[in-house]
Amino acid sequence: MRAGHADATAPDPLPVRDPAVQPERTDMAWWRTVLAFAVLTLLVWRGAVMAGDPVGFAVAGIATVGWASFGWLARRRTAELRRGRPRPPAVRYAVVAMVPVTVLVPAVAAGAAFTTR
Amino acid sequence: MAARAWSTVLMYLSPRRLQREGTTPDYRFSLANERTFLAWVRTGLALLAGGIAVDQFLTDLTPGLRVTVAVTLLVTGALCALHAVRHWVRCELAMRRDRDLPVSRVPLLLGLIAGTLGAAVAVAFVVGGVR
Repeated sequence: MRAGHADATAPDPLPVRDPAVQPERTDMAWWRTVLAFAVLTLLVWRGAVMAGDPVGFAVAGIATVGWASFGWLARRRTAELRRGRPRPPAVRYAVVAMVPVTVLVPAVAAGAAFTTR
Repeated sequence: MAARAWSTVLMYLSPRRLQREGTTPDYRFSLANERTFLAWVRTGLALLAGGIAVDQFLTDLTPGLRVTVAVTLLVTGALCALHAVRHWVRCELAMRRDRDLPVSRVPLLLGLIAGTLGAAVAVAFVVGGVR
């Protein structure tokens, strides 16, 4: 019933479902996001090294921790997706995924204000 | 009204509350919703990176304009990240309750901000605002 609910209201036009592609696409979306976070982290490090001030390095440290925790989340979630039929994603992933970003933003804004040359 | 808003906020934080609502949709739709969430997070991250890049690389801009553009990008990135979670929960709820998916002005707002910033920097390079 769990996964069949939508089929009852809107019949699938395809006779055979292909559930394998959906988890794979979601898997790749997670790693794309980790990659985007990596680019951001590298940029923050560049700014810290160029400015050479403690605030910049503190922000870079936060960005690195955020990136690492996001990668850990992606690893957990994609492992869950690979484990056969994935269950509906839990909201905790969405909420926890937001933590690095929301922590990062004020830190980066403060850092940008302090390191303005 | 206030109680209703509060119960929605609680759903942001507790997956069990969300799962008590309605019926579980086809997991393919939930995964599509998850990918949309991730796309919004990436948009937010790209805006953050853009803000930092403006601060680091557009050093020819006058300081006032450079900081304004950078901070606008950073704040917009933060709003995108928050919108990602809000939109994710609202879509999940709509699917569970078998209602229409939510509509939003955030894409319009994002387009206006990006367009305005791009135009501002372009004008600065053409008519001044550059050291």
